[in-house]
Amino acid sequence: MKKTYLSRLFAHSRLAGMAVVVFMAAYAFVSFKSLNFIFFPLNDMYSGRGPQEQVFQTYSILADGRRVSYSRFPYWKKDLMESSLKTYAEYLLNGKKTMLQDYFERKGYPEFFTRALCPDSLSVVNWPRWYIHMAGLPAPSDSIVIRQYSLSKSSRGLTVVDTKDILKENIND
Amino acid sequence: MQQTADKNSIQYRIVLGILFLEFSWLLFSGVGWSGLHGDSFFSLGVDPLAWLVHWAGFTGAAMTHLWVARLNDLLTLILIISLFQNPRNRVVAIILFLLMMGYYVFLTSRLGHRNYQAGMFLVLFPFMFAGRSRQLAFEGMRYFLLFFYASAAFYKLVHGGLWDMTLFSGYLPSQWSPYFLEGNTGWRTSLAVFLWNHPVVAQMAYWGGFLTEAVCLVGFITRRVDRLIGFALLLFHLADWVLMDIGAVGQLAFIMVLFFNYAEDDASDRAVS
Repeated sequence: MKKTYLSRLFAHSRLAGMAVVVFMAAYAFVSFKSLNFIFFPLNDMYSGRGPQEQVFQTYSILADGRRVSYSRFPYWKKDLMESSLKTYAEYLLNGKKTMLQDYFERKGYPEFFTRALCPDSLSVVNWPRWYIHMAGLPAPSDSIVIRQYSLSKSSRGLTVVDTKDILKENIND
Repeated sequence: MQQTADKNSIQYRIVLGILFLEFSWLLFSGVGWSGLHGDSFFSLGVDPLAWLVHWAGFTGAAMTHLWVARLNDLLTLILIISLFQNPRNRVVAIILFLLMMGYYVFLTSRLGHRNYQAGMFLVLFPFMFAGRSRQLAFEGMRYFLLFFYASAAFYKLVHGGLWDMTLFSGYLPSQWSPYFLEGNTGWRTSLAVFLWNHPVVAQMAYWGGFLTEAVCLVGFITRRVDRLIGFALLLFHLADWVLMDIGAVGQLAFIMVLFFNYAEDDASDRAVS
């Protein structure tokens, strides 16, 4: 009978065999707790019930009134510009706190522990400028706006039903 | 034995060649180390490894110093080429593994969520070993890969996604909203509209994805169908891009492990090192 992977691994190196057993046990524990770590990925995306809402939100930055487009960029850049803008908008809507900052504050973690893990509130102010530069556009001279769009589904596509400005910055003020 | 070593070298080089193309694509897209230079906003999850990388200052230096970011890009390319030339150089493999892991953490922290393409650095794990250890590491990684996809099928089954006939059609609009907002429509957005107007057809596509992931379970019993599973996963990711706009670049070299025939070549390792 053919030997299993683990038995061959133990025969080769007891240490390696133990490491794999510990890894499997840790993976089982982390999955049981529904945690998602880099070495223990919880691959449960799109596995639960589907979204019930009929209105979908997306975001754009407007530099001097012009929308900064990103959907024509190559995949990874498009993904970065879409995801990071969504996260930044959520950060603004959440009182300028990331999810982790919120977590640390609730748990009362000391500042020296969290400093490197949270964005610096002073430099983050300039993030929209970095984003505009990333899109290959010149630095705005008049205004920067972050706008939330609500889109509704129709049989022919999606149409904008509402907008809300979540950041307005007049550069000349 | 020499024949086995030669065959293994070709397989290693195929994987590393694809990794080189993937990292080049990331650079071309503008999201390499230097592309992310100056990106001051990031959001981490609860993950001790990502915290460790940030505490070590691995990402901070590339964020504030352009020369560090450029050096990292260049170093990554040089190290992949170097490992391609000599796939048995474990020192290069270890440095490259750490560098790619740091890059993955850097990139995903800037995205604000962790993308699934961890294969971009995990694929380098077996290269850090030699001889029989390397063979067993490749085998272990193969199980990890199979488990990664099979677990997705498991969750779809137990979380009820399979039985919700509006699930897939419900997710599609949010996936494509920026394209409609910017008027950048084409055959993929037309297909998405067709699918959200026909939820049953959309759900059949979802079941197709489930079956592809579930077929990975066969890999735990036999290795005879590995290539079939590999092709199925490549097809799955292609469909993922077409239907959901989720790309696979960063994960392709990892999937290539299923096209491997792991044979031991201790002798050649001794000869080379």
